[in-house]
Amino acid sequence: MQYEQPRSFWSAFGTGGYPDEPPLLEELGINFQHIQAKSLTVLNPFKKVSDTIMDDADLAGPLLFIFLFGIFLMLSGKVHFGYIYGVGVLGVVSIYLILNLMSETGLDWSRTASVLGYCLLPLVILSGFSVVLNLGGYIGLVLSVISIFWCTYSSSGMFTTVLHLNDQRFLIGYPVGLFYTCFALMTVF
Amino acid sequence: MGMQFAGNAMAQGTAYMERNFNQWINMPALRHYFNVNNVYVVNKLKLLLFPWKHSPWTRSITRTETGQMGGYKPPREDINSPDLYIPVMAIVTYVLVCGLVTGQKGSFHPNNLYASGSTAVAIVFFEILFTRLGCYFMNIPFEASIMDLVAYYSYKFVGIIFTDLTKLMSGPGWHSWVIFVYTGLSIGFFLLRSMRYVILPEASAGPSTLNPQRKRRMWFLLVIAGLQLVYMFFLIN
Repeated sequence: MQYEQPRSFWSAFGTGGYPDEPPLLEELGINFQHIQAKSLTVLNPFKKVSDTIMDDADLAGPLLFIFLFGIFLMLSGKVHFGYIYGVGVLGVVSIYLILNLMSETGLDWSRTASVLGYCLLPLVILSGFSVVLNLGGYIGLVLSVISIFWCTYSSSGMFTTVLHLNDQRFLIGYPVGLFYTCFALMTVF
Repeated sequence: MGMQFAGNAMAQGTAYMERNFNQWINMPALRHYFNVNNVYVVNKLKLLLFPWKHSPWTRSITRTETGQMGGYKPPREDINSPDLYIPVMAIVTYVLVCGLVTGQKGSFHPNNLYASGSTAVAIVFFEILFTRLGCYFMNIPFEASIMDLVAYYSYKFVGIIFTDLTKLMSGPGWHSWVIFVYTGLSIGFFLLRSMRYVILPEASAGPSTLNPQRKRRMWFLLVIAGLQLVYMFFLIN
């Protein structure tokens, strides 16, 4: 398949592509190594978070986690995709405002969305449990409290290392904890 | 190519929004109110619930290198300075606690959250209006900023949350009324001491300057502090 000019109109209908075309995943910005590294950082709360972990603020991992969360909720009978979207957007915007007001160097919104989305992973695990268990009782309450604390601990740790705030960890943790509590409420009730 | 175009469009959109946003909200002034740390928040919460023994209530003033007076010290360095972190968190937590209380009764609906949030904001707005009108009618030169008043009048939500949580955990009864009266009185006392420097600008204490104007202003201050209990009664559920 030879074309006169590599980017002519008809190349959209062919499969030749153009020279120097990067591979698809690299062009979309999905880097599986990074996604795996960041997920393992969230899952291991006792390891120290490095400074440069959020240098590429990709949203592919968080999108995957949010879809998984919605699918697990759907499998347990609650179709709440609209609420997830609404609470997510509202929470990200308000946490972006608070972080910019409280820190010396600001943070742009895609990076806050990325951190908050990656640290949603323990809540995704909780919603996976909600498919098989009934979370309304005592065990469910304990599990949800543990997941909220885990999410809040890892995300406030990431925010404090990325923004270099040293004595405001609990202050960042409180609104982030409220944000994850809303998600947990959606999972349990 | 497409990704670069989308990235450029997003960057231009955000820059446009930020330019117009900064015209309406003064960011550096707001930053001063959010310049808090863990120790300040813990001590301020303790002060709100037990203000009786705290001794110097004046706000510290920063001095520049030449010894002249700049603005007030940020909340990090001065426990008496009002901040906006605790009020914002208190109002958000109050809305969530209202949702929790209605959820326990089984009548939760997301519209109720909007109703409680707007009631809270409306009461704070009404108090600020009342204070400004009172200062205008009594010829008090008003030097504090509106953000200070928002902060002072939103501290009562801490007491309201405390009362609501005790009511949630141990049921309604005489002990939740005791907690309500205690938090109302402590927030009232806190406001009395803090607003003294706003309403009575000549900070000379003592009865030697008891002219009618000063007596009227003191009554105004007492009315503001006493009304806190009334507002709290309407806000707890």
